[in-house]
Amino acid sequence: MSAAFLDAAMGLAVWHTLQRRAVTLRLTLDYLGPGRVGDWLQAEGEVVSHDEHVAQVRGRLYGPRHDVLAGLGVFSLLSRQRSIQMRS
Amino acid sequence: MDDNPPEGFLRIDFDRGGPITFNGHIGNLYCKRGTKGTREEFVLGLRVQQNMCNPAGSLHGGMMMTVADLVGTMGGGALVGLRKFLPTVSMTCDFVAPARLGDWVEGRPELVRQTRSLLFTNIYLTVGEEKILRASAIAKIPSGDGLAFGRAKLDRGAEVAVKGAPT
Repeated sequence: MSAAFLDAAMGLAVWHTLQRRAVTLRLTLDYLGPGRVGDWLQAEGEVVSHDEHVAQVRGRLYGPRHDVLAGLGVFSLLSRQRSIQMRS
Repeated sequence: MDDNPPEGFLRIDFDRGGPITFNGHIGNLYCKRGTKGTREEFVLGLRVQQNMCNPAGSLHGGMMMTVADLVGTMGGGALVGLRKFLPTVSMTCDFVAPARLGDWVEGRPELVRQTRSLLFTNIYLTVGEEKILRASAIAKIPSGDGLAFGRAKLDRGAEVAVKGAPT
């Protein structure tokens, strides 16, 4: 659950900073602590660097007390023209 | 769409009537146990359903990671004969190829090393012969007895139903 959430947050970070859609190539996760029932968890993503094809992203998922998950991701950038075929 | 698992796979009943947890929520997962020391010793399987897909219509990466995580903890634990809850401390995933709606996905663990407190595994998810995800994971082996492995149990009732009711 936390892995999928952080993956989505890091993908969105790419979209917000570069206006490019991205797919995950590699995701490295370190589980730092538990998130308990009722905790509000939030995630931050930061594009560390990028070129024409890939972006390096750092992510952090944290709760009210401590960090839950640290992530490092490599995202492949899709071309600006390409739109994802949404199923109707 | 029916899951229609191949021969030998049993559905994992994670919550057994108790409050529904994440593993019980995400969809049906199946397990097959084979001969010790073979590739088939522990196999997790799932049928890709619509609710497991991303907007592009292939299996969601989060679902792949969830399954890989379960293979690493349940499967890795099974390979070394531990029936404890092993929390994952680190996992690296490479998304090699997509899986499509209706595909049957299998996950297998490979033991790298076991120490007193850590378990290192490689995990591959495959569709047929094609690899779709490669993961490398480290799980913590709790000291003492730790938690028992939750409530997860293979649905032996289904096995009986397939083979005919016991006489």
